[in-house]
Amino acid sequence: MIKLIKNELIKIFKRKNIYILLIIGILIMLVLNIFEGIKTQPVDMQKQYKRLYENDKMLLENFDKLETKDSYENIVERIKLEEYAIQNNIKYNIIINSENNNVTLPKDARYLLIKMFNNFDILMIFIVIYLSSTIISEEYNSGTIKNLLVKPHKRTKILLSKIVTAIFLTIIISILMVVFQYLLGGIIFGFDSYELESIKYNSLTNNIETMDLMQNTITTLLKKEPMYLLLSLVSMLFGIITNNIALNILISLGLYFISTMEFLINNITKYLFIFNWDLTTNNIINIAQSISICVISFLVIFILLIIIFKKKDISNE
Amino acid sequence: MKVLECNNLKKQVKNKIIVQDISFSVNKGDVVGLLGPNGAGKTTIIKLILGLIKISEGRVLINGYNIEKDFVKAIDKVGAIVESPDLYMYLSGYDNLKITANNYKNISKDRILEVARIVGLDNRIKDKVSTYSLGMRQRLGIAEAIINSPELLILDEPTNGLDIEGTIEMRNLIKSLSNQGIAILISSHNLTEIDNLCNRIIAIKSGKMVTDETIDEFKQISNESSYIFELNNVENVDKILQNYKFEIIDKNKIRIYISKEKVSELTKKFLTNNYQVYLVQEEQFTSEEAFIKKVGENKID
Repeated sequence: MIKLIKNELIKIFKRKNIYILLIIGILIMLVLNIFEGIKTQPVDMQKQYKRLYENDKMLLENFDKLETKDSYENIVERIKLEEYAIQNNIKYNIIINSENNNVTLPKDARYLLIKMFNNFDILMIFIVIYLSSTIISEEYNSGTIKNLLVKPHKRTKILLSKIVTAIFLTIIISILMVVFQYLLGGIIFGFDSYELESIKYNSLTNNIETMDLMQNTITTLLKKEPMYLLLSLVSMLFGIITNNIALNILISLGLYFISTMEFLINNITKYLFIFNWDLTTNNIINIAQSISICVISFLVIFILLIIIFKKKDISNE
Repeated sequence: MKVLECNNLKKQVKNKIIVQDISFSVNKGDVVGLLGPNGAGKTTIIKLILGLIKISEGRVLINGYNIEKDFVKAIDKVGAIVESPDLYMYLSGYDNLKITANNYKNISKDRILEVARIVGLDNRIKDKVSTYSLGMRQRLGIAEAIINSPELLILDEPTNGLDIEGTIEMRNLIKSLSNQGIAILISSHNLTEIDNLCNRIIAIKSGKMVTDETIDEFKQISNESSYIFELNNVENVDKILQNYKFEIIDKNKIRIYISKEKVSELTKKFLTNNYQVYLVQEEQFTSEEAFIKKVGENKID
């Protein structure tokens, strides 16, 4: 199995494509960070919080009359955070997930690290889908799957080596992205803000939660991993079914975008795995149930993958 | 000793029967040619043997192991090229061989370099496959197929894309492999190649076996031997050949169905009757002629 995984890694890392993708990712992160760095100006934070607080109170009271792109939940979240910031004399930006576009607060390295997952989710998704598609679809497309399947390994073992490689790379790349953002943010904004706490509003419990930044980052990463891992498996499944990399990428990306459409969530669809795989969002049923749905979905897709891979005849070219 | 045994193989997809009643074996040292026109089912048979497609009925045994029940043991000593060499174009020849070697136990770097040398790619082995000619890719495919020192080698069109020199080298390589006792199954449209390489022919038409014979048996169209007599003229030969089966080919040649022992007697008879006998030759059919007669008038690519 180790040698099979080694083969998969050779095939991935001896291609230019993966490096091009990673370089594009790095450049996008670099540009966004530099842009935020240029935009950020020092302000009187308490004064800004009070302005924001007044503004948001007014928005909330007149929510039905005013046309605003903000959601009710976002405004409520902001008000709670603003109250906390004013009461505790917070001098840094804690409005991260529900920004008020009328009154902006300066950003720092800590802010960008927390916001990283929102900013760069699509990048990570694309890398995951690309890796998982090529690990399966490309072999069928180019015919090299025949080479693999006439070797002394059971098909299940061959597939397992690919799944393990995809999962391993997904986790490594997501960690590397966090590390890169940490370093980039620190270089542009300074590393001192990393010592500040992460402050969040939990809409389910209606409480403000404080957490060590590193703990928060690790927790957020862990909450994102089910989405990345499930998307990886789904891409591989569609890869075997369609034998077409482009179609596979399209379907997988499509699933991701559907999962971001909150208006599709109702009493039935809320149990679908695509609406539960991102454990950082507020629209999950409850975290324990979401995790269960993710685990069950992972197992079902995994079993489907094995069944289809084992039974699939290799058609003539 | 049977290295490969196919018993009543059948492949059916929905209502369509692709191949059926395919039974043959390949022994150690055999070079068996699988012949047939496009769409006859040759590649399907190869894929059934290698477990690339599910067998509808029948079984395949390789070194006694059932390909469906004991796949790993059955396929362990098999090397194959199916349809065309499937290579990672963005990798070097060496990396392609390395990846193949990693599927087996105990294949050293020396063995990788050895097979590269055997197929004549040692100078280009570190170059990317995308820079190889078609013939070089074919040779790399062979290198991959023999890297695990197989006991059964299955080759689909092994000389495809090779120039004359390459074809001769490939032929010599296949012959040397069979001399080492490796059982070889070659699927080909090239009857000259089959003629030169194989000791047995299995002809396939419309998914069924037409024949499984040695080369000599294959070329013998009928059970009787036949001789071509070239005379000064064939007028009135029927009077001399009353007791013989014969066919007039042209104004100077006749095909006469006789045994070797009767040749001298018949020649004397012609001479006695004032015919001049210029040539007496035992008739040998080429594989192509034999194929067309036995398998049918399908166009062969």
